[in-house]
Amino acid sequence: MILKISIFNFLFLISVIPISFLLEGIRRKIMARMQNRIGPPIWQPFYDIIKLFEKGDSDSSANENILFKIMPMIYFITTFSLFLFIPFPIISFQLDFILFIYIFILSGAVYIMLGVVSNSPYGYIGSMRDIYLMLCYELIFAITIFTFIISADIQSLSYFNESWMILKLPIASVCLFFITLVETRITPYDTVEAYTEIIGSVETEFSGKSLAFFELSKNLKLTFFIFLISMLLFGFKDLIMFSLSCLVILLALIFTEATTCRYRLDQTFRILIIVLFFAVFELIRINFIMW
Amino acid sequence: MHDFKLPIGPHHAAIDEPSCLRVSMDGNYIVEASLRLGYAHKGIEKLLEGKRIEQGLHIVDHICGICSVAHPSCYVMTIEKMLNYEPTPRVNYIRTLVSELGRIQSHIFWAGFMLHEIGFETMFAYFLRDREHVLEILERLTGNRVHFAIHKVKTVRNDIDNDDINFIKKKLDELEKNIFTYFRTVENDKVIKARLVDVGIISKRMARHYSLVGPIARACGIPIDIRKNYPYEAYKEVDFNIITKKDGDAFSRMLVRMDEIIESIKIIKQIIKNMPEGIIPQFTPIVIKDGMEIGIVEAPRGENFHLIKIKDGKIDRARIRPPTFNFMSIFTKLLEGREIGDVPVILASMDPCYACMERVVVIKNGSTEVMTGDDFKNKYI
Repeated sequence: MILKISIFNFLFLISVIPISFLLEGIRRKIMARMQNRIGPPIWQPFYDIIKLFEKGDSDSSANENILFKIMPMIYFITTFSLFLFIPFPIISFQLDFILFIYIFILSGAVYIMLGVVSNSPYGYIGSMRDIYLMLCYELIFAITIFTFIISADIQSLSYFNESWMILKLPIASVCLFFITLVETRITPYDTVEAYTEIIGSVETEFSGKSLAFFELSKNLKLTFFIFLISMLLFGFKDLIMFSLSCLVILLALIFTEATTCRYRLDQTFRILIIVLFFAVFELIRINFIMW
Repeated sequence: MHDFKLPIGPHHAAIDEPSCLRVSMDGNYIVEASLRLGYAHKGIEKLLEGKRIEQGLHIVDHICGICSVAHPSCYVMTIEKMLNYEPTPRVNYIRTLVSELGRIQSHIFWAGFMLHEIGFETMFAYFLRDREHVLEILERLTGNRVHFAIHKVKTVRNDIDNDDINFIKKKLDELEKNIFTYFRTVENDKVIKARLVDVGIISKRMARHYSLVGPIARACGIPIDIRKNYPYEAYKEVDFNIITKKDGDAFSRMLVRMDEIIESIKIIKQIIKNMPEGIIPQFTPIVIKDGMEIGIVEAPRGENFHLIKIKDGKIDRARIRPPTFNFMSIFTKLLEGREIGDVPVILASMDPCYACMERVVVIKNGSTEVMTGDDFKNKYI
């Protein structure tokens, strides 16, 4: 196991949280502009989190449960630890992408636990929906990552040096984009967090510091996926080009969110099954046909 | 998760007005649903009792914020029937103009809200932006943006001039330019179709059985429209079609309402073209004899019914039955067997307006009082 602590990588790791706020701020602003609104200032997410940390605990009956208090923190830690691997790895060893996929799924599992411990019917339904969809999307995520790793012929994420993989693996790239929409709860696949159906599901009961950790993790997850797509699909090593590609991906996500409405649970599941089929197809294809 | 009970309301993001819907769920599907109302009850009928006609009009104006033309229009029509008075053509035209503008703003708001329910926030924002054109016209004509209060017995409060007509023309053109684009989007968007088609299907037979009215009945293929069937105001003199669709699902209701916006624009264009010359009569105090009369108008949501009984120059009894009253009986039936994600879609597709609808049910000896026709006559006539 190699612990790569170059100053750049370390600085990048600690600046991930401000970057995630910035991306969220840009997202809100552009979204508002697309919807003919003025929108909040770009630094609004900073204010939101600071305000939430100053607030007290929830009065929910779930508050007696210790898990209700510590689970948001665990969710935050698991989500944050994903940045140890991408885009500029700090930890690297042989087959480290298996641990990476494991931590990713753990983060999803903690999200489900959050719904269960919150003792709210909406939380239960949100968790149920997430379990239902997880059967598909975590599998697709793992298969897609394997496809990229096999195609690049490497044994650790830190050796990932390819660029413009989007041209080499177009189907896997599209699959990764689908997973991003499902995981970051962006329409048309925000079924798990459907605000007008089950009032945001899992986060319904949370308030104060717990909600702050929750929001933080949500921002981090969006940032994580933007970095992941940027790294795997475009693979720019230059920091300026990397930032530009991140912004392009963010714009694509915002555009998708602004121009679609939400699918129902069964419809989302049916589409994910098709995506799973394509992900498997791509994994098989790279062993026989390469271009 | 068998027999898992989920409360939807009174405070819920999916419903705009307070109501408590409890659904029993088996897995992800609804087994049965029960609706409890009474959170927006204002006692309008009781408030009206003992009031003079002019005072009553002021109360009726404030029944609802969205149907704020339909209720005063119906009330004034009922009183005028009782007085055997036929308003001048110009007054009729102005009333029709405001009615149709009210219908457009209600339908546009509804269409935006429906898309908001299925997560299409951008369209919601765009619809509200274009509703602003209609509200600006109404503000210029009546001075108000929500409760227009333009109706008066025998007359209207404001006259309109040529500048107003030019303003209406300009604003309608702007509205029309966008509405067709939105209409095409709604018609062709695959995700919207996936959410709305075959959801909340009401058959033609069922619609007759539950005596549904308005756009919901028209979406089932029943050509029912008070404007055509019992013309009032200036509807005899304008040319328009009753929009009907066959399928009876949420998507047909959407299409019917979108088409009706276009029909209403057509009506307004005819009205401002053929507006009769002259001045509107001055308002004079009303002297009214005892009696009882009914009036019906086509509100944005369907047939709106008013019954008014006058005794000693004051209102003795008023009965108001808004269109939402008819829909609520079928609503819980439609939910059975559907998914939880369909609840907001079905509820919004009915376009309920609880503020209009909430009335008191008389309970005697612990059970609901049901009256026969004779009992009703003895008690109220």
